Amino acid sequence: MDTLFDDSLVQEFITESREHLDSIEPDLLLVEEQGKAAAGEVVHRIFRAIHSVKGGASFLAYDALKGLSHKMESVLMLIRDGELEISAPITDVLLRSVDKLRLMLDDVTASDSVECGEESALLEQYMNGGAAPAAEAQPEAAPAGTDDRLSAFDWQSEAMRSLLAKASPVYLVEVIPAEDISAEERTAEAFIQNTLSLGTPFLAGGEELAAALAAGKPFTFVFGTVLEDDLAAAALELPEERVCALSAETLDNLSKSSVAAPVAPQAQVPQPVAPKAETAVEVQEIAPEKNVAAPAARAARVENAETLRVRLDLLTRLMNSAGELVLARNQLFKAMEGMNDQPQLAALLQNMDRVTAEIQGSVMQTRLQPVGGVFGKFPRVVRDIARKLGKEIEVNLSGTEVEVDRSVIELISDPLTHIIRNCADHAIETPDERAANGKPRSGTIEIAAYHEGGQVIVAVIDDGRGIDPEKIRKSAEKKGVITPEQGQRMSDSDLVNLIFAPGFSTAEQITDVSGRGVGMDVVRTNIEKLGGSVEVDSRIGAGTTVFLRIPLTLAIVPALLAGVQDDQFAVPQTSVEEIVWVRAKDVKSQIGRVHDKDVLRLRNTLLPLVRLADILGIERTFEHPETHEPLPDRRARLSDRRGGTESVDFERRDGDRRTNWRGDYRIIVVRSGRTRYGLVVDRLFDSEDIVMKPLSGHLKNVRCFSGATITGDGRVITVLDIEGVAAMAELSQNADLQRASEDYASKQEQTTRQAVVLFRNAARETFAVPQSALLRLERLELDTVQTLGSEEFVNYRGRSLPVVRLEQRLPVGAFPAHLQHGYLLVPKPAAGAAPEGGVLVSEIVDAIEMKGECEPSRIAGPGVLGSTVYEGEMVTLLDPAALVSNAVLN
Amino acid sequence: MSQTGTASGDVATRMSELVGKYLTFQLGSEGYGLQILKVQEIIGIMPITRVPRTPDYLRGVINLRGKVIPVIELRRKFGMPPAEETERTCIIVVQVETDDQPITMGILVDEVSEVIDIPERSLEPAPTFGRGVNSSFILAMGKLEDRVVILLDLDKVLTAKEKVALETAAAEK
Repeated sequence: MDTLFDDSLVQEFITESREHLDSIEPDLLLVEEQGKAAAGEVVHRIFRAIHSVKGGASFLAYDALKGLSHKMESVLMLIRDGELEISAPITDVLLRSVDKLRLMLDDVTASDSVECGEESALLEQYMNGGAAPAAEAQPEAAPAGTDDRLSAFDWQSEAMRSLLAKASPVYLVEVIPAEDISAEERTAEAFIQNTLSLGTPFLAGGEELAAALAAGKPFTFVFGTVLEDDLAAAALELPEERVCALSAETLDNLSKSSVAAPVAPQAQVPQPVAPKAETAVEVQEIAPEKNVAAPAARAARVENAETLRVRLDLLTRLMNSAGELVLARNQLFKAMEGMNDQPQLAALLQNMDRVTAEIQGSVMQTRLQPVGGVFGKFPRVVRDIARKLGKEIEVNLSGTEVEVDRSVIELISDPLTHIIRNCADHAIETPDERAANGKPRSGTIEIAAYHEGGQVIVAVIDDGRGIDPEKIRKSAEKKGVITPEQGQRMSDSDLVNLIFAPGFSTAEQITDVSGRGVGMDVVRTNIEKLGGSVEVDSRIGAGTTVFLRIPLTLAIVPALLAGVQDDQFAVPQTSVEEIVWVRAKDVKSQIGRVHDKDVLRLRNTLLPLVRLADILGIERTFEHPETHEPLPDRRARLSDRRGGTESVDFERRDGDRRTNWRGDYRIIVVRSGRTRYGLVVDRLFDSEDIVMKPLSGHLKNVRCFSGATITGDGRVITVLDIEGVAAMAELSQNADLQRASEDYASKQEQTTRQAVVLFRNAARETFAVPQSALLRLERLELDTVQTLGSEEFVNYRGRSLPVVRLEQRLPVGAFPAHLQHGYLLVPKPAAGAAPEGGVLVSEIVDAIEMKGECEPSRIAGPGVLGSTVYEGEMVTLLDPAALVSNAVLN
Repeated sequence: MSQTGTASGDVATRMSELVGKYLTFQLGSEGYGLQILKVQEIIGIMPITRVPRTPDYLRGVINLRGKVIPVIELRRKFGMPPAEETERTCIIVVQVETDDQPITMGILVDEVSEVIDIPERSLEPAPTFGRGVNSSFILAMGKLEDRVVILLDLDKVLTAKEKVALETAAAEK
């Protein structure tokens, strides 16, 4: 069947229908939310969209598609005409039908096999006014001729007119309460409700249905509805002969052509009613919708027509060509250097330069799409969950216009959906719970996108219950994600971020809604795969924010350029955690061996080391300290010192440290997924934005490279595959190392080494504060310090921060008077609070790791923790927070 | 004798298919030819980026107008000592058929000579060198007035076996 039509025709139908369905969803939610206020225009828009789908489907003879969309259309028409009030259950069915239509479009040739019976049945029910079973036919005395009964009605009244203008067809209905209501064991209310839900009844003299029923006498009413002949009686649950249709001519005559009678049942734009004041009795409030917005909406569609569908591969090709153009321009510039005697040429070149940049920019833009495309589906996702769980959740979208590369959009959609599901499922409390906690009953999920530092941040902010770090810690310990020692040491924010740790999400928290087999670790892996990162920030009781940091485009990756011998390689910046420079004098103490592998002692862990030169099969050399001659480096172990160089002072050499390769190690700490190791390289260069190119043919099978890139000057540089390198170094299977590292960590724990900042105030008095207790360490020009009475203040991020001089609090030497600047130690305040003050000191000595054990100090005072000896000097360990909090109390 | 008869008949048809234009180039003192249809372009020598963990005849990769392509050093491939690069050193960019898809690669040659038309009478099947010598990458020999050029079957210069070797080279090292 599908061979009847051009494939492209079908393809176009699918694409267009998808667009229509995408537009329907938010509109439906809008209608539900705003009710009648929005109904007119929006319902009309939905109606038109579904109508187009139906049109296409029937043209291409996709019966199931046509059938379902037709039913949706019918229900929408009822809503549009005010005969059916939109309600959550109706929106539900319509949304589910949209889903089914999408499913059908996914494989349109098999669309007829998609099961949509339930939706169809429900839709039909609404079309028929919610009543399903047909009433038993009761042969009864035929009603008297309709004509005289018709005369009982005031056909000129306003209410009747508006009814006639909207409804089609119109019936004359006779009700005998004794038979139709009492005998059928129906209540009058049920009958009234049913009738009102089907259409608009109009009784003689503007009487209310209820009153007429209560009287108990047989009566007739004019009934406006969209139901066809055969359905009307069944829907009203009345014998067929009591419901008789009024023909258009009859009505025409009755209304004496002052009212434009409805003609076709499918009439889409109701005729405006001629305003004529009459004694009006409103039977039912009818939504005033005249579809004035229709022309405007149509205009919007015309505007849409200014876009053009272009094949993606064409765009990709265009982008490649633009890249080549840029390279060609660069080469041209190079070639033209030194030809200054040609001013004409220079102008031409300048022009070409401008145009090239413009082309490149525009071409890049063609692949950018607003994130709104992904965001658009979330209100629906949240609504469904909220309804299911009986929650009230509002979704706010902002920054939908922020644009990122199409491929990025595709990749963030699933992780983002997962986060939002989680949010709606776990984070937002039930209305009662919220009310009990003094929050508005309705929760809010805000999804915002914005630019920051060349990346796009997508933040999912909820005002739910927040994540309890204590619970996370217990759960993580139980699941073996962290050891109890680690748990004690971790900050709240680190604990909360454990939700992304592999192995943390388990069956326990899987619910019907968010537990779809993917944990938050999968979210992180997926986001990291595309060069982004995830972070979560949470306050108990106040809410949680999940930040996704994503690149604008996948084609351009920031990378660190590193060198081994004469070769250069690029390491994707997203894999780089930190760079460690091990000075020659520290090699012995920082690099060790575990089971024949080199390891770096990095804070409390043992980090496996991989020498890039070995992995790449490049001969290691080192530069002779005196002759600067490269010599082969035959040491098997990194920790070995080179003979005879002990006396050479490697520290603070002159010259270019990047090219000096004497005894230091430059280690890039990289991480990819679960693998984390140190990559030992010879030289480090700048970080650069690179354009990834695949390695062609057989080269792509070399595991340690993920691709290549071309630098600004046209050179080719290979890009390292961090995981591939780890695999080649057989790091992953090294369980011994893993164990050793854990042992080491726990041993470290026992000796409680801690990172401290060593500083001085008066000369020769050395103090230390734990790094973990510091928020910031800033250089402070003394002339920026303001005084108020005896107090001193500095302007710190827009507020004044009290400054405490060390000698004010402790019996120690004073700040040297001749100094023009010092350093401000800002202690970490209690969670959520602003810093209370800063400590002024004169000199920062070093940042080191030292043993945590202290002896009681010789001095007493606020914040003195004890004293210890480091490299022969007495060091007094201080708690900076105690120093400043005391100051404020005074 | 009848056997050789059919064999030479096959060779004859094969030879007639090979008539056409060839791009000839030099490696040392030897002349080689490539079917012109395989050749995309000829570019001068440019910086070649070495790719570690690959066989030595794979000289590296170059940037061909934004595309990264591998470059094969034919001298090494044929067991000849590497030569100094001169002004005449060239990279011939060719399209090579592999099992799955054609790939573009460069071959590094000493110098490009000319494009010649080789008539059927000048074509001769590749001589057999006896056991153990693989001459399958030679399409034919072209006899010119003063010299003989070896016409290469580029698709076979990198044989399937070697391609596999190349792919696993990294893993084995």
